[in-house]
Amino acid sequence: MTELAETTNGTDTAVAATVPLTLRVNGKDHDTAVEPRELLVDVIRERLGLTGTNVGCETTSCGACTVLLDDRSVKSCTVLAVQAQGREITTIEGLADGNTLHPVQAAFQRCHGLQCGFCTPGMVMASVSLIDEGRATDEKSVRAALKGNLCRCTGYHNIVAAVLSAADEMEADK
Amino acid sequence: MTPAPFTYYRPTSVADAISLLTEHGDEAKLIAGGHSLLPIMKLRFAAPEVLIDLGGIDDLDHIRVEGDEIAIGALARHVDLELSDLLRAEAPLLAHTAGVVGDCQIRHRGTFGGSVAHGDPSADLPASLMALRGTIVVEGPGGRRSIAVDDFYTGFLETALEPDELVVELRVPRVGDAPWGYQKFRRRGIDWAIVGVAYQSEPGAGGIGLVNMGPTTLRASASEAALRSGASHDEVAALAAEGTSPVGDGAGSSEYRRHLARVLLSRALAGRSTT
Amino acid sequence: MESTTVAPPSGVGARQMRLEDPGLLTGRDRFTSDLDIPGALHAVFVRSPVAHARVVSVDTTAATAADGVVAVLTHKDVDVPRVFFPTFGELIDDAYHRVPLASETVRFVGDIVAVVVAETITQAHDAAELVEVDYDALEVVVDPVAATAPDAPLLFPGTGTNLAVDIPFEAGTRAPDAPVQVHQRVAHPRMAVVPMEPLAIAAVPGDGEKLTLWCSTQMPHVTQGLMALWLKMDPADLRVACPSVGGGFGGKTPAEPDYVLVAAIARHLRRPVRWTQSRSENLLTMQARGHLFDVTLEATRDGRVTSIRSEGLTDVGGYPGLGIGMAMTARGLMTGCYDIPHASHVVRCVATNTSPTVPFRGAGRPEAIHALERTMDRLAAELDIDPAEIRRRNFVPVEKFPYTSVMGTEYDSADFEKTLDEALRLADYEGLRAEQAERRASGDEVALGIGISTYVEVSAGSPGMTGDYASVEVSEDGWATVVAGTSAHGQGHWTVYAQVVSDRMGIPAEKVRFVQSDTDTVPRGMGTSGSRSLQLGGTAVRLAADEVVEQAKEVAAHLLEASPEDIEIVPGVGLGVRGVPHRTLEWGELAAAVADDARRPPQLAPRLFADPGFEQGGGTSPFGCHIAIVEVDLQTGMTTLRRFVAVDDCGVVVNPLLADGQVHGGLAAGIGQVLFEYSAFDDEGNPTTTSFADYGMPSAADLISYDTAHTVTPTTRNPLGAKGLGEAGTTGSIAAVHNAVMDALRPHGIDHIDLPLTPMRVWQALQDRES
Repeated sequence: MTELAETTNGTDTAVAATVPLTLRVNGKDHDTAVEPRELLVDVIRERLGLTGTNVGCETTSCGACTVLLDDRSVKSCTVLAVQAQGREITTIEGLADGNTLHPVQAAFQRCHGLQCGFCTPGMVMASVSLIDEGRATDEKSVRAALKGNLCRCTGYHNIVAAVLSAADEMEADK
Repeated sequence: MTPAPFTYYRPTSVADAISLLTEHGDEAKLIAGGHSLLPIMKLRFAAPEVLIDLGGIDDLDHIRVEGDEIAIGALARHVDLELSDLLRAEAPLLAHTAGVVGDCQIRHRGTFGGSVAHGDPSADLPASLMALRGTIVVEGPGGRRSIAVDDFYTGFLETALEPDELVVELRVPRVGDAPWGYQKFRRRGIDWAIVGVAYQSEPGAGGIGLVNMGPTTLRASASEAALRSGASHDEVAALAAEGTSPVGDGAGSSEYRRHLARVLLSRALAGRSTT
Repeated sequence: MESTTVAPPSGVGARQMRLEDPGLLTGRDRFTSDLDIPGALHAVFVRSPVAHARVVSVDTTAATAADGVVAVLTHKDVDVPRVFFPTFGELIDDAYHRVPLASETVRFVGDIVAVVVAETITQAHDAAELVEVDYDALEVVVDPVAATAPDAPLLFPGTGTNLAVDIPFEAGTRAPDAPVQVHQRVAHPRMAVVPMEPLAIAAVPGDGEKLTLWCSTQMPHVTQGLMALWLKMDPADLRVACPSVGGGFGGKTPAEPDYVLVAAIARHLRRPVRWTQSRSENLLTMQARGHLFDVTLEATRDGRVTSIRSEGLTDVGGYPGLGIGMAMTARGLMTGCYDIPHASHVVRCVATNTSPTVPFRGAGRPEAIHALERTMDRLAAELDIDPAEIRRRNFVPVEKFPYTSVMGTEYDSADFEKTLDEALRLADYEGLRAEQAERRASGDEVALGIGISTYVEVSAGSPGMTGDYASVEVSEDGWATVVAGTSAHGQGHWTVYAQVVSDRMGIPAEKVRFVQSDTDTVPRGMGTSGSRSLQLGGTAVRLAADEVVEQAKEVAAHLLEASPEDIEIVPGVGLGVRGVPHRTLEWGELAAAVADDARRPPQLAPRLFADPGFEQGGGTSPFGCHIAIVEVDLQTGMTTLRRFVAVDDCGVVVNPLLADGQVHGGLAAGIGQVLFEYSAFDDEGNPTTTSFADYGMPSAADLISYDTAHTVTPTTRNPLGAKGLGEAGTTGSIAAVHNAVMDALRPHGIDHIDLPLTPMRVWQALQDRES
């Protein structure tokens, strides 16, 4: 059993004890130190400087903070950084191969699946995961599988088209 | 928003988790997927002094046949149930229900044990566990015991779990392709059910679980009795709200919820399910 | 030889992929909260939990002592200016001003009473919980009708009323003794704007009085002007700059009171201070709409509308301000697409103990069209005339354009029958009506509803905002740079402006650089709102491009020893001599030549640069027809959208890919407002929709793919022939969906249900009819 950290409860005496933590993000190990209460998204953004992952709500609803944890989409606002130790994290910055966009990114551009771009990193990561899980079989399934990601700009029409298009392309390339 | 500070433990075995629970008692909260607890901690509606992370225990996510039953580890995630070929064949109601919980990201983190142990009457999986007449296996300092789902829920967010016990396994009968239906009624795809109904047919009978029709997950006992007596589906459905006490809120008055329970049961009995 | 008359593939009309996308898709582009601001402190606002109270005391002792806290500020500690929009100065009493940091009185849940500034955001949050405020409760008024009562509690007692605005209007001649009269009260509830990026700002003091505001806004230059006014600064000392902006929809047009506060605190502390709005703050304080319309139509027996009399009561919340603008805009469109000889309207805006309102997509347009189109359907039902037909009978005829409505609103061009016919055809309207009749006859438990809405609106017509700035310059690397006074936050201006450059200059869109949204690098601009940017900014780009081409022709003629009249654009290359294929000069060579004293024609400046700007002088009138097809489960009250047909006419479409994207987003907002979204308060003024769990923002699972089409009726107000499109989707769709649900329920004796059409409301209405 490991006691990773002891900090005092109560907001008035928040002398925060940090614990060392190694996070594996986009194939690279990052040594850092966190308070156990720190959320994965905050550590990714503020300590690792990977600001592509966005925060759009406080209630695990909007999906802007979606990253892959061992290849499955999760909302990084609802994972403690310490819970991610020993796991493989992929963020939007880790998706493209150099200057070549990932097929899902390329499909979002081709289909105009983004406008302001704030929800986009989360939307793309969620899409990568749902395609990987075989959920991109038809429009209805894609819509159901994207319900954890909110967008105000696109009305979702072109996002759904982009996911189906990317899935087709990735299937053809197999 | 960041939760209030806490002491964090990450045990690597059930035994270690139990001794931590014994040591810290009411001050401690267990966290598995964290999708019930972390959201309220972020809003500081909950501020446990000790957090015991079950994520270090790596042998509690099985889904396997054991005799006439399917045994599911408490740490199996919703997505594991949803995509399990075994569960789809042996208890399809449960696999389907797991697939209508939250959204993909939530199902990638949330665990079956966590959902059952939280005791939220608006949760989907406990209603299907009720319809399937499942059992909840818990472990404490004195070892393991099994609790029938009917005895597990004791009040709003309250269960028969002792403070030093944790859920380790869920068991349901192998029902194969017997008819079933799951109806989750909500305004938006991401909403909790305004009302939900789980139905699992049994030889000459059927199990019916209700979501959000009272302070706990409920069994539609009057409807089940009518089913056993050979009543028509219309008659069975008409009794769906008997003995329930749904709250009224912005999404639905208690009268509307009672009405929905009847309509949804009628649809579930016909084998219709929502996605 | 390549023909010079063929537009390059990236020109006007091309489905050009966006130049903006690679940076956004890879996480490389930054939003305000992503910026690395060395030494920045973090601010958290302590907001009032009560809707109306006197602030007795604010105890900051514990918070000030907390770890990492630099300052805990109340109105006593920092000089915060009052915020008042000069636009409304003529309309409302000066007393209705807001001080972003409340002093004596709080007027809505969310009014700010203290600001905690700490080294980290978590420290600021932790300390904010320790600020203790003592409130002395005052009587609360939430309902806008109740707020107009003579004995209602007053938000600003000095004014003697909560009615901040009460303006009657009447024009035209009312035919006596109209044979038919219908009245409909149409509530148009509050909703939240919900840009996915909430507000965010970093205020960074520089040398002397200088201040830089990095912030998420739609209008950097307007923000600069207003902020300087309020903060009593020289505008030259104030830089407003936006990195990527994550959506606005009207909610980021005001110079936010929150931004004023952060700027004032940064100046007070003389340290960089940043603030990012939480989603709950965003859902609470960025609300829009909130009207109650009473509409009376008078008509002949054959359905010709002879008069519209209406009143709008607009709930503008705790501080009357921008919300008034929506009410005024709505007035102008109360006759919609119809040629009505008489109209009267009263604009009334009332203060309540709820969040102050801001513009949202359409900003008055959807409100008016919704109220009118609902009532038109009531008239159609009253006269038993098909909803499509009654609209057709009342349209302003094509030959009357340009047309000034009885409300005094000018429509430059339109052809309402064209969009109606196209929408009816695409929807297979007759087939749908036949299916509906069949299903009604068979007693189907799922009722089919068909809803039509025809709309017209005015884009780029806001007074003082009918022109904008752009420059085009070609540099020696052969690239063009566009600098624009508009300020995109998702619309894709870089791409469409590059298409205009490509069209006029033959430079591929991929070789166009883009500069916007920074008062240091853009000389002037009015930002982006009101569907104004393409027609004004795009035209400014076009005029600049044309001037640069003229300059370049002179250079080329000089160097190639030809007459300027014989010089032509060679797309993808540069300029050449007509009929002499190989005598060409690339754009880069031309730019180098003009910078070279030895090679520059003497009459030219040493840059290929122009920025003539464009002033349109007035607005343009986009229009269209939307048809919604819904299915209503009569057992549960649940409405499911089956199909949505939108035929919009925005004149010339520069990029069909992006135009459809604008329509899609607009439709989703309108559909959302009808079926899912509303911002609510309880009787004590407590907000009940401050998270996405409670506020019904729809996801992909709740919406469908839309059928969109365009007819093209070019405007002559600008050389592009383009009108706005950003708000069209919302303006048309609300009434279409609302009418569709009512159409489904009409055989069940239901004439009207107010929004939002939640399953329980629909079920309750059905229950009420049965009993």
